Amino acid sequence: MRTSATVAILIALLAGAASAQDKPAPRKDLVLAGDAKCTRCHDENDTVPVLAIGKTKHGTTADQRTPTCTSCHGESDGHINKPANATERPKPDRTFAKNSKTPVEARNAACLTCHQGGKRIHWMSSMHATRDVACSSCHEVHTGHDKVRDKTTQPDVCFNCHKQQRAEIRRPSRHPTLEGKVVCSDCHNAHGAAGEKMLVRDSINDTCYTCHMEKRGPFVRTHQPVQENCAICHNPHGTVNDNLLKARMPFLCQSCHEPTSHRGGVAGVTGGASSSNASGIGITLARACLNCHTNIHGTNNPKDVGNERTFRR
Amino acid sequence: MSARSGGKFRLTAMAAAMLAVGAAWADERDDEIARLKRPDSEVSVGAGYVSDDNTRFGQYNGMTNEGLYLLFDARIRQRDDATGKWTNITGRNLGLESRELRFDQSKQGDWGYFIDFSQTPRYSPYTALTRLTGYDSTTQTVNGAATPTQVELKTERKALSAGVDKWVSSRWDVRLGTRYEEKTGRRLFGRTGSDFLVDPIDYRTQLYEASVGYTGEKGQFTGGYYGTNFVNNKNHIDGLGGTGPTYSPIALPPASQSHQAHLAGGYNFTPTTRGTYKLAYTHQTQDDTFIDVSTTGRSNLGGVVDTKFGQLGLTARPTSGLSVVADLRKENRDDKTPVVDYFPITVTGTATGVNEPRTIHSTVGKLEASYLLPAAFRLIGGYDYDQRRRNTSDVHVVSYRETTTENTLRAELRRSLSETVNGSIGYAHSKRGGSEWQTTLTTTATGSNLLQPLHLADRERDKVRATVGWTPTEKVDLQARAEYSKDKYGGRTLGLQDGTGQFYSLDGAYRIAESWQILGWFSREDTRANLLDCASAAGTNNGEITACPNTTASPIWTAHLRNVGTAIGIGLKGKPTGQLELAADFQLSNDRGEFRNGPTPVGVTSVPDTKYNRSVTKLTATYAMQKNTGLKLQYIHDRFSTNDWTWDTWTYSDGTRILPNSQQKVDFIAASVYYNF
Repeated sequence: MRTSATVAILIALLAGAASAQDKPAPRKDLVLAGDAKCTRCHDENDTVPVLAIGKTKHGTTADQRTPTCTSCHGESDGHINKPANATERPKPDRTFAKNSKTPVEARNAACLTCHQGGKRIHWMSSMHATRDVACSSCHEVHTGHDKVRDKTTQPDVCFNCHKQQRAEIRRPSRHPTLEGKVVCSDCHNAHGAAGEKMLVRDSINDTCYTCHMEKRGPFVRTHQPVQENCAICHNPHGTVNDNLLKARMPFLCQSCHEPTSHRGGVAGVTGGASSSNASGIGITLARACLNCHTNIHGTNNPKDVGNERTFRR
Repeated sequence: MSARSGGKFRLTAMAAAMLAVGAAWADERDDEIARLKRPDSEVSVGAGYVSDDNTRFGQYNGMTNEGLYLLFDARIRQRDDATGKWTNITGRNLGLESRELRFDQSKQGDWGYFIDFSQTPRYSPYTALTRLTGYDSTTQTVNGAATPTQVELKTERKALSAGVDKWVSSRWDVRLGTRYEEKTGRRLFGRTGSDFLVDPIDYRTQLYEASVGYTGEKGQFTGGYYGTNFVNNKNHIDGLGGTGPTYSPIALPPASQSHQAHLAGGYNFTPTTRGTYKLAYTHQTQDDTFIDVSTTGRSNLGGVVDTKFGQLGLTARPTSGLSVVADLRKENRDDKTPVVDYFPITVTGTATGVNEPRTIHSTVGKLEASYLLPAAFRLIGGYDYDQRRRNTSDVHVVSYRETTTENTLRAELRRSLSETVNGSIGYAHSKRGGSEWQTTLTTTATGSNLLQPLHLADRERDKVRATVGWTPTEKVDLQARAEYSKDKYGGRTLGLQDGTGQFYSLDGAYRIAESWQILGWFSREDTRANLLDCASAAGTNNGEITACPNTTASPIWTAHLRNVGTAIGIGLKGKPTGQLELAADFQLSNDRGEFRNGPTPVGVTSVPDTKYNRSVTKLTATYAMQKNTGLKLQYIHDRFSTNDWTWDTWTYSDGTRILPNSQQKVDFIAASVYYNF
């Protein structure tokens, strides 16, 4: 009874309010210029809350470049004014959800209208673009917290597609990616790059050197694969071997070095001696080959004591 | 109504209510809308307790000791709506060694600047028990202490970054940035297999960037300068005692610097055709004073590496169904370091006193076409070209070839089968070959030429991949991926012979109810490589396996290398009430290494398998006590175990042992209070 009475009063008040006006006042924009035609229906209770865009850079209305709803979604006349003969309200001209029927190129075009310069210059030829990755596959526009732009949550966004890296980053030897200290975008430019592997620098080595510059040399004694490509020996995403090595020593070293002298020695956890380079523990335990060849990335020692070409001093 | 409480705001309903109760509610509505579009800020403070000393749980966050830790995070976002000026302060892990603090201000579309501090510890899983003294210095004495002490092996990076940017006009911007990083600490080191030493790390790394950018409707470019400077405050170790002065001093990394000028851009020839380019020139030098007197009289290497980089790309969509990508890049890394004979060949085993500059030229190209077929199929065909050219030294102890060239053909068929199912299948075939093999050379004789280095060997690679995504309902999302690759190596007799790689993954997510979701994933990776080698091959040979003695003491041997990794993740999150959020997360990583090498000489036991297990269970509860204030509780159970035998029986000459800390079981409980504003 009480509910019915409340409803009746509300209806009466509403009717009174409505009759007091000759015509309804125009709706006010809530966040962006011209958004009233959208926010008359869409609010914070939608599956994708729309008002939260106000928390973002896209909600900075003092910036004259800030887009409106229709800048991205199109004028969407059919959506706003449902045709009389339509059984369902047509979708906006451009939608960005995972199951959107808007072609990815058209979705991305909305973003590229403004975001084609700077670090996105090479987007169009990137592996992401050519494999139909939409900007909205990674970025969330209608939220104050875009996961891919937060170092603590970014890896999870990338791992949605990069499953192998998701597993590798959990191995015993790894970068501090799970801790949000070295994340995907520290090495990769997801928006495309001129160099290989969409890296932030033009080569693998130059990217590694941004943090591991001590390895670049040049040295008096250089180790050829070190100069050519760090990834010949290392997997930066994680391995079970110390120092992100792709394989355990001595097997990794024996994948290149001739079997003359001690280099073809048989790995073993017994036999030999710690100071010996023969088959057995000297080439297998502790730092393995590095027990003697301690400066494996190169040495700048100009003198010779015991074949400095082999990085022992 | 706070974001944490999950209260949602329905404007339409509220609008009706406002009419009913009057204008007073209009103010409340405006306040609520203002809150909903105002940038969020949050500060949280609390404490966490770690149950046990460890080296894995706290490896990168610093919580390696049992005890209490301060948890302090802040994220402050403020915007002046009238001017568009943002002020942000972000602090993370401020009570831990992994702290980060950033302050930035910007007037959007006009100017901005930031200053950022980041600290990153890395605790080695290993601890040294040693009598070495002076381990933080450049003079270290093996066997220097009467009794062994426990030495923590840890490095730490502290980085300070800053940058400014200015939009000069609506199309032109200028950016300046720099990063200064200190890396200090201790790392495992040693010499001759007998002496334990510590690498006393004390690096300074500086990066400088300056760029000008232009963003037009058709053309965009950015050009500028990128400079680096590396300094090592401890560039050698004098190792006293132990195996003696023969292997002392030991050189540590020298200082070096580089300067790069670069220009990159893109141009939209038509709405469907775009070209891109990049040009860069880098001049890198290394002239750090030698740690020891050079018999040549030189005081430094005089190292110079000049690198020229160029890239050209074209993407086009000539018809609505066809798109084409072409890309070519070339990098010439010319090592112009003076070649000097640093010492006469008087020591046994020394092949040359001449330094060996490394010049590497690479040419990489890609041509790809994507064509939309009937029934929503898309066919992608591609060709990749990769050529590397390297110089060769007069003396080299590894089989060598100056040029390797790899050609790859690939095809992929993709289809959005329906609104709920999509998938792809792809195949790629690569073939790598190269120039003539060059036999190893010493100054006196032609050497060995038996083994094909892994990055120079002939290689044929076949790779297939299939993916399926299925979203049968709005509540269910499933993904599956399978990959298989097969390598076959050749060129010489020994070395890697063949290998395979397999990877499978399954992902699933299910929305149980409006506010509850469960997700899980599983992946398995299995990589194998077969290595053929021999002990004590003849120093001079013609590449035939007959150069191997193939005796019991020096056998021809094989190793069947294998890594099997299984990883699982399960997560559950939900909101049982408007005030309470719960999350549970379990992750398991299980890896096994196999080696299966042999036959072995008498007394040598082949290498056993290694296993690594890590599981992390995380429970989180967040309770909104008031509109803007709440409590967050967290519990983590972290276990690690391995049977890795690397250090188990190893003892250095002075009795130094490395403790591998093979088992870990840590419980972590934390409580913090947050405040939103």
